[in-house]
Amino acid sequence: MASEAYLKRYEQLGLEQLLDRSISYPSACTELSFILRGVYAKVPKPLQARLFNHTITAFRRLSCMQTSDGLSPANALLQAAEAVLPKQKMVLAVMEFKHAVVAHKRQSKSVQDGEGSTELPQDVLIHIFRSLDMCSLVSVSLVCRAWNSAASDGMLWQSQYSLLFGIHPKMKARTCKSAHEQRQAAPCQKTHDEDSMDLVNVLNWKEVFRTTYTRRFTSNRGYCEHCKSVLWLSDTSCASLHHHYLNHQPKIKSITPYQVVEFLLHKSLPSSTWSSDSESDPEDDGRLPRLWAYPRNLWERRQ
Amino acid sequence: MASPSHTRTVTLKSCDDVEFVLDGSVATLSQTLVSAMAEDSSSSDDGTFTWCVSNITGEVLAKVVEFCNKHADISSSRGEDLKEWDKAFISVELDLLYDLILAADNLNIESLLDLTAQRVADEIKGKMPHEIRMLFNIEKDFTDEEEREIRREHAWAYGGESLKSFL
Repeated sequence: MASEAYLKRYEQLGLEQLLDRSISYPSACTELSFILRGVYAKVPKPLQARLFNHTITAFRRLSCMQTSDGLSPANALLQAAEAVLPKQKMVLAVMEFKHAVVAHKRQSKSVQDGEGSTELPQDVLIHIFRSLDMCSLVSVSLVCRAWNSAASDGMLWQSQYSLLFGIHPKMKARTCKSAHEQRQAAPCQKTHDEDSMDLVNVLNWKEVFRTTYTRRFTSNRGYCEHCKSVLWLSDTSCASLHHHYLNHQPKIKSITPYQVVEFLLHKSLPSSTWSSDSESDPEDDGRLPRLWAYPRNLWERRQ
Repeated sequence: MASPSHTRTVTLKSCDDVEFVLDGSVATLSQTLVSAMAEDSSSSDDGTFTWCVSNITGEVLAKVVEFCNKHADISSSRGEDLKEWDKAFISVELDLLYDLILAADNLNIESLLDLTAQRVADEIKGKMPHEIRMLFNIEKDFTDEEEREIRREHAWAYGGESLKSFL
């Protein structure tokens, strides 16, 4: 394969920007260490150079992280660098890492505390949080008590839900029912809105979102079947996500860092690993009984 | 019988006694003023209406009036031009932004509230909790115990692979 193709696919992951934001730094750093290990020896020089550059960038960026959140992913990246980089580059990377750790420690010591807090009314906070992506929404709930309670608002998580997973089954059921009752097809949008207002009070949307998210996704990366590209999942509020939906049917599947590596090398994802998603669903877990039956078959054959 | 709100003039008075005279049609951007004028309509026939905003300074109110004048003027730029204008308008220091949000909330001006909220959201995006605290000068009022608990509750959002680093 032409080296440009490799590079292009790597650029598509947008790792440089992800390393630049402290919220995505830990995940991006971890991902880079997987990529370094899995890809470095198998790709042409230009991509190798890019990978090395980004490793250095990642270490430099560590000194700007003000908490210890970045340390352990950076450590993982260091180990990957030591494992795969040629000696000269490896020495450079290790040096960069050591500098970064020292700078990071100095940085963490000079944490300032602010004086007087900014108190915005709860409804204004919710208004602001409406245009946040999922990860930032989590961030703001860790800021202080007032922000935490505003960020737990059901409406916020419900819209995050529909952005990533489409319409919730319960929402769909309600919409159909009320539309049927009214025997009107046109004001469908309106009844949907009213119903979702209802449902906010019924369901704990934050919890619904969390359980669905953790069941569906094991990492921050997803693969869009529709346009065959790897996405950064927590940017859920960005407009670019919208085209990944066809008639509210999300086409995004969770992928592991190993699959990202696979994607970089072959531009395809092995289909066998795809089904693991549905198998982890507790509802259609049909594997266990078969496993139980298997040894008995063996036993009969031996007799 | 009072004249309809859009033909009256409205005088806005800030908490430090700076006065702004608005066209009635401009004032209708503020839901607070609309309902206040509706309630008041029986008493004043001379076409003027005065409203004191107790917690907004003249400096901030001047910005709010500037915004309303621009947005009420239908003959002036629409669409893309207005977006550009909004962008320039909202490029202010965080202190002023904070006052503008409160003013937009107080006067209930939806378009201004949307604009200011979007700006704050843009500031927040991609930042870690401690960075947000520092940016907006917010005090962390969690106890250590609570913070650990909340972090554990939210660890899932940072992705399975980097989960450990957040605990």
